[in-house]
Amino acid sequence: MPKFPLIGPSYTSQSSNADAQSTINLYPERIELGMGNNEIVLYPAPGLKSFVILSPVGPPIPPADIPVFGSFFQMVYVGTSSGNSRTNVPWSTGEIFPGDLVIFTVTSQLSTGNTFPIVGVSESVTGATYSALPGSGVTYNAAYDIFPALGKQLYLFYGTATNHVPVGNYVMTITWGGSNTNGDANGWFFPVRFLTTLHVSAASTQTVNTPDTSYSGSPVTPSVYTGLISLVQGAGTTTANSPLLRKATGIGDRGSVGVYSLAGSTQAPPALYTPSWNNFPGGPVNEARMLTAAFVNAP
Amino acid sequence: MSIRGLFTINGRTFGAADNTLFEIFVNSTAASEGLIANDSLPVSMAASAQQLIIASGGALYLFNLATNALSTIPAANFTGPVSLVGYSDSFFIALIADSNRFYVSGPLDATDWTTNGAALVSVFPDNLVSMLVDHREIWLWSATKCVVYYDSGNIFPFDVVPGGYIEQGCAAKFSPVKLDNTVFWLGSDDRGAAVVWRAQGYTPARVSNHAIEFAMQGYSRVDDAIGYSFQMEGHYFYQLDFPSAGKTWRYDTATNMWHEVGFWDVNFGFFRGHLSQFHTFNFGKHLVGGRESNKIYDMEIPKWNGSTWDFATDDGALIRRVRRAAHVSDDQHFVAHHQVQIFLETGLGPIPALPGSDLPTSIILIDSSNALWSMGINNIGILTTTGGATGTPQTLFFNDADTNTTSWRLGVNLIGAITLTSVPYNANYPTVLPMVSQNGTGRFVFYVNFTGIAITSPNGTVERAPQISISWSDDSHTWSNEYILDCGKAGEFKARVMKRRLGRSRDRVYQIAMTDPVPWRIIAGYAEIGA
Repeated sequence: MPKFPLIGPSYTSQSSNADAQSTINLYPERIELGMGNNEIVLYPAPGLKSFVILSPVGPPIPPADIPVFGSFFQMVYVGTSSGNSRTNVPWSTGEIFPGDLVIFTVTSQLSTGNTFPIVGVSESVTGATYSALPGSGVTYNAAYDIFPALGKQLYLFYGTATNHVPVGNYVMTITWGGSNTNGDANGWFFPVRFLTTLHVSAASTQTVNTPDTSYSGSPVTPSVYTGLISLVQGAGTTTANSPLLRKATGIGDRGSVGVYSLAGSTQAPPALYTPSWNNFPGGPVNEARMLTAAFVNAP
Repeated sequence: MSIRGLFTINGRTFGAADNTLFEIFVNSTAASEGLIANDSLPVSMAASAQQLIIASGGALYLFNLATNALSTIPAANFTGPVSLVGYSDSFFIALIADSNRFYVSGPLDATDWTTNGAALVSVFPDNLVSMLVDHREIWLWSATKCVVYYDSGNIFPFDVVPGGYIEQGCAAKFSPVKLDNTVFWLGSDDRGAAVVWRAQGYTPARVSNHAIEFAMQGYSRVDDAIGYSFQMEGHYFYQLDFPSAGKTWRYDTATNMWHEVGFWDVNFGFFRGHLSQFHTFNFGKHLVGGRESNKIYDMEIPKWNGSTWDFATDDGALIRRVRRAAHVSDDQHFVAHHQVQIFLETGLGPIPALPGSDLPTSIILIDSSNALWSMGINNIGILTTTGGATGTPQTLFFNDADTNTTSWRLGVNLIGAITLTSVPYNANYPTVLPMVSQNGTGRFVFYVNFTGIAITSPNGTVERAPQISISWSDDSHTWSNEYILDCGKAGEFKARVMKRRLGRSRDRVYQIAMTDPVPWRIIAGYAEIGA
């Protein structure tokens, strides 16, 4: 068989009818002796292995190209042990510690193919990292941060935002591997009801009682978001809004797929539980997780 | 959050991540050396044997290599923010942002910026965009011009090189690099921008081509381009990364050819820019970092480790490699493409082989009421039967696997239970039936014991060879389906990668793509084309 011009460099002309050659993650090498099976061959561009991770000290500063994102909300998991049915949870797994250690897990998603930095700047927070970008309506595990004690505050993220979209237009699908009607066999999974404060444009502050009643603020086009989440039991919470007093009736039930609309009150009024970590159904709480999801238009 | 620069001096490597300067050690550890300003742009570093200076966020820092102390050089030494730094002939050089001014330190003393003071570039009126020290000369670019200074030994140490004036400027501050015994940069001038140049003496020579320039000049911005250079297997590469565009190009001085590199985003199915934006060579490794994380990577071509290939992924993420060939046309005659062979090095699969999938086993059985059942095996090895099957019923006989002295006929009863009926012994009957699980990934064997009981046992997993996909376009705009071709499991060095009966066309472009973690070495393409 005669050769055809398979091998070569990238050369995509203005008109692909003229030349549409493309060489990605391969590089041409000329056989210098000139006696090989071909004059030029393609070899694989080098790959990467992690050598070391640098952990900057002090507050991080967002990269210049922080991309677009829309609205967000938080959900929290509070439970008593690691359980073994969490295989479908879109979070990190296995970070179960005794005592009051809280595992903080963040997910995010963005539009336009950019990346979104998940930034933890509280003391003792480690593991802040970027998230890759799934499509709209899909949660994606990014990283987890260790939050050493209840009652602390943690800045979740911040960044420049444009094309902000109203909260009410998005639906999130959550997969939760559990067998109990209240969620995981060892814990509960529900929308966060405690106070979430959005610092918008560093000039005004919006208070959002997220998410299952309504979004009290009007859609804005902020330049900076700072999500401030306070994991507080008691202070700042009431029996109506404590995350420890809630169970979901629509999301995560039975560990299957729950669809939650941020547009309206699809949640039935929750049952109330004893407002105590130690009296939490299922036993003393030694784990809590939080998920933050940003919602955007599909790219 | 990203790496902002890498630098090696006397076997010591330093990296800037966000607001922190680190020293990186051979044992894959790093130590924080102190805080630096962070404007999320690359840092610039230069060093003598005793001092390392870092320009970051407009501020200038001094790291004492003897005491490991990081200090700030007072901004009062300069008339403005320090943009870039260099080192030549025992002098540190500091370029001032948004000006035509550069400072020269006292000899071997980055704390002394008054002895020599500053010089203003006067051969052109533009502000300086970039600076690079090469061959003991200071290259200073504006957006439209370039001038070169040398150490003249005068009171102010540097003067303009006679003839060292180029009517070609720099389009991106961080694009100039030293490579192939000269200087490369992304250029601009009064007539346009985004042409890549190399210096031949003091004459710029164009190294980009129309196609590359068409691509680069289509980006929303090019002034944020970041360049680095490295040598691997005798190839001297110039990498130009365009962060805003999410594109990364490499030019190989050995072949004068360009190719693209990128990180394959499996979530969205497109390429983003390569994960590296900075490079240094130390500890025998190409250390790179930059985009999206504070990781420093070891970069290398794929290497066999005895069972799998190291460096065949981007830190675990699959690398998608694509080659779109030149046009194939017989002067626009309508010709048939009888077969195509992609000649590549086959048999390079890992050990164990890559996990694959196969069609689940379905044995059509008929019960006494002439109803059809499909017998299969679930993912944990339990036989299943499903009613309402279609197809031709099969009659299967087995000899027992214990003694091979009895024979049995496989059947199904009215409720779908598997039955085994004793029949006269026939030595020609098989003793096992290979089966594939419902999810297509598990292998099992079915056999019958001496008492006529059906038994299954696992028999490994479905494996596959590394694969490429091939597709083609007959109009250069729309594409055929992708067809998967096996490239040989480990040791199958004679495997041929072929596709037959590919239709007819007047003009065709073939494309191959591959993601499996093996070293893809593509030698040639062969095509049998005719009337």
